[in-house]
Order: sequence, then C-alpha cells, then structure tokens
Amino acid sequence: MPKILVIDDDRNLRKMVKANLAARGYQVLGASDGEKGLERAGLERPDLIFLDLMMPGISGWDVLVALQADQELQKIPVIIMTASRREGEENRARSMRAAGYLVKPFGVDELMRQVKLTLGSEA
Amino acid sequence: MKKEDKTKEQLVNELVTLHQRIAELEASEIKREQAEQALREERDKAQRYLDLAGTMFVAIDANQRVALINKKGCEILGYEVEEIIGKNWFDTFLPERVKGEVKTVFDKLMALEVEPVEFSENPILTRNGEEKVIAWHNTVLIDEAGNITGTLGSGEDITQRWQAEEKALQAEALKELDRLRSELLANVSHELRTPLASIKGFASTLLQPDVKWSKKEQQDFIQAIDQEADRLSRLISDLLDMSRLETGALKLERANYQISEIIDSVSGRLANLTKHHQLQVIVPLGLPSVFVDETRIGQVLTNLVENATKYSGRGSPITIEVQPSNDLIIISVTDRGVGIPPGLQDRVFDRFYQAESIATGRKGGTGLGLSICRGIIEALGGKIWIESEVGKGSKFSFSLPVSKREEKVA
Repeated sequence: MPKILVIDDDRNLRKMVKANLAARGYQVLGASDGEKGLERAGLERPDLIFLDLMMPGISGWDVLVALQADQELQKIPVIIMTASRREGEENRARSMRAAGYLVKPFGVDELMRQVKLTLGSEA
Repeated sequence: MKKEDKTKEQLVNELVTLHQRIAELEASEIKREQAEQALREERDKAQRYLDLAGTMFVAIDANQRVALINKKGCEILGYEVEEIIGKNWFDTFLPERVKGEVKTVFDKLMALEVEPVEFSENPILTRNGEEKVIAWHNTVLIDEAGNITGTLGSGEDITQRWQAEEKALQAEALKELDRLRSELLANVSHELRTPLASIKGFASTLLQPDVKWSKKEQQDFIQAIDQEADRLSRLISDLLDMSRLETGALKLERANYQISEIIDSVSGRLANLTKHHQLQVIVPLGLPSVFVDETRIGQVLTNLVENATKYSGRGSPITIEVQPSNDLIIISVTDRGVGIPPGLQDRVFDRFYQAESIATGRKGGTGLGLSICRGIIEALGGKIWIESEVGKGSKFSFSLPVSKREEKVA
C-alpha cells in the first residue's frame, strides 16, 4: 500500500487530509513543519508527499529545493497545497518539478483526483 | 631798512615754506585720492568679479545685516542691491519657520560657541513670496585682530533639483505603500483561506459517499469545523478593528474603571488561556482609576497574555503586574519565553511588518494582534512598548493616563 507524507503546519488541515487518505487504504504520515517533513521523508521514503508552502521556519519552497537536491528523494512526487494565490507561484512550483498543485480550500474529490493522477489507481 | 629786509627775507622764506607745504599737502591729497580711487576700483573690480559669478554671494556682518551681495544674489531674491544691503538677513529673507533656528546657529557662531558648518541647505524667501532652496558653502570672516566679523556664503539655487528629489521620494514612498498594500492583501487572503480550507475539507469529508465515518470521527470533524469557523470569525474581527483604528472610526466607550475591575472582567478568559502556565497577577491597593474602554483594555490584556502563552514553555510563569507611575498606570505582562531579538523589537507592533511575518512566522494568530493593541492604547492616550531578551523572555507594558475626573473628586 503506498505511503503518503503530509507536511502542513495547520493541524486541522493535516488531520483532514490524513483521515481521507487513511480511509482509502493509504499508509499516512504527518509532519508539522518543513524540518520534520524532510527528516520523515529521508527516513520513511514515502511514495508521495503533500506539501504546504507557507510554514514557520523552513518553508515549503526550501523543502522542495532540499528534496530536489537529494538523488533518492527527488524521485518522490510532491503535491503542493497552498492558501496563497500569488502570481507565478504555481509555475514556479511546477518548474521545481511539483507533480500537482492544490489551492486551499479544496474538496476531497479534488484531493483524491490528484492522488490518483500521481500514483495511478493502484490503491 | 635792514630790519625790513630781514623781515622781507623772512616773509619770503615763510612763503616758500608755505608753498612747499601746500605742494606737499596737495601731493598727499592727490595720493590719498589716488589711493581712494584705487581702492574704489579694487572694490568695484571685486564686486564686478562677484557679479560675474553664477552663484550668489552674501556677506552678513556680526549684527546679522547684509554687508555685501552680488548680482546673482539680487536676481535670486528679486530685489535691487540697495534694497538688500544693511537689511537683517534672517528677518527679511528667511521663511518664518526656519528663521529662529538659523538665527540661533548664526549667533552661536558669532559668539564662538559652535564650529562653523561648511555646507548647509536652507530655504530663502524671495520678493514675490516664493521660497527657493539654496545650498550654501559658508566661510567665516575674520579681521586682522582675529575677531569674527561675519560670514560669507556662496549659495547655489537648488530648488529645481530639490523639488525633483522630493517628487522622486514621494513617488518612491507611494510605490512602497502600494507594494505593502498588495502584500497585505495577499497575506490577508492567505489567512482567510487557511481556516476555510479546514472547514471546506471537513465538510467535504463528511459528505463523501464512499467512506463510512464512525460517530467519533464525525464528532471530531464537526468540532474542527466549529473551531476553524471561530478562527475565521476572530480574524475578520481583527481585520475590522485594524481598519477602524486606521481610519479613526473605532468607537471607544470610556468610563472610570479600577484596573483590577478590568482584569476581573477577563479573568475567565485569562485562566483558560493560561491553563498550562502559572499566571500571577500583582495589583497594589489604592490605585487611582483610569478613564478607558473596559472591553478594549480587556482585549489588549488577553492578547498580550495569549502571546505570552504562545511563545513560552508549558508550566512557565506569566505575570501581570500593575504599577502607578506619576500620572500613569503601567500594566505589564511578563513571560519567560523565547524572547525577541533587539532588531525585531521595534517592529513587532508594526502592522505591515506583522502582516509580512504572517507568511513566515505564524503561530496560529492573525498576526494583527499587537498592532491592534498599539492602536487601542494610543487611542486611549497611552503608550505600549516591549523589553525583551532572547532566551530569557519578553515584557510587554502599556501605560494609561490616570483619569482626571477622579483627581478632582479626590
């Protein structure tokens, strides 16, 4: 069963994403900031990462850069979740090889569609 | 006859002497005239040279009177030279608002109390009432005995350059304001979307037809929706407060209160906020009352205590202390938390800075709390400030003026 890591400093949002993924059989891990996220990604080698952009400390952008710099971790697809609508951010994220881009607020259908698009319908 | 001859001879001699003296006198008179003429010519030549100069020259004597001015100076001021010489430079040719200050500096210079300033800039008043900005190069005039007799300034009219610079500065400031405004809007939009994301997410979760959630899970999700709706509502109140404070539209309902009454009125909230900390409240007896808005002061106090809980460890002490100080009551909230580095201390109350920090240093708040606190305290005639040391903790204090009405009663 694919393993998914959810990195977001917002506790409720993390809980919502995790509950939905777990209910559909995915193995789910959480991290409340960028630093913990990178650590868990290195240890657990998830199949997919959900990543918030604006977090205290190491931002989502920094996490993306760090993931790309690692030969192994750069293979993990990343789906961005962000409440920001600043111009050019989606393009920037895509250019940093983000596999998907979710703008908050989003519904569960959109969330699951992105998972299936990225991982295929294996789960 | 001999006597007569002698007298005659004597007379001739005297006459010759007189002629000689007259000739001598005449010669010296011519010399003097020549000398005067030479001096006049020299002076006129100097004046002509000064008049050729493209910058204005003004000499001011120790009594503040104009001793010399060149053509360019007359042109800039719009007066004839005769109208300027002898006039008090400061009273006649400087705008009212700068006159006093420039005069003081000049008098101090004449009294040898200050060192001369080589370069200076100040506005001058022209005949038609228009102001011109002059950049001066100043020289102190000293006589043979070494006494200061006045100053000589050569000045360039920099009005146009100055206006252009002023305009550029204004444009720059407007651009910066614009940038901050759109930055604020982007941050506000981000902050509004964050609680909305959980509300939408959990509602959509509960509506999923393919998952059967347990009763406990359902309860959990609904509770999260409830919490996030509260957070959204708090954020909207904060935004409204901020906007009202900015436009001066915040209504304050002021009355005389004892500060202890205000603390009591929010004690429930404070106890709830500090359930994982040790709250200590120190209020001396017999304090004068303050003429404030009870709800707003309660809001400031809970905001400061809430911040203290967010940035200090569980179980650590938080102290509210009230102290009188002359005509003020000072209320402080002290924590033993992470503290704030000196460079950021001045900026924690700044709305735009706060707004910028929303993006990076979010701690669950709206990022507007402290700027709202400052707005409320200042609207009530007080001040708010911070003392902090990294790793040791922070102390936020605000002052409120003692109410005058009660003073009269007392």
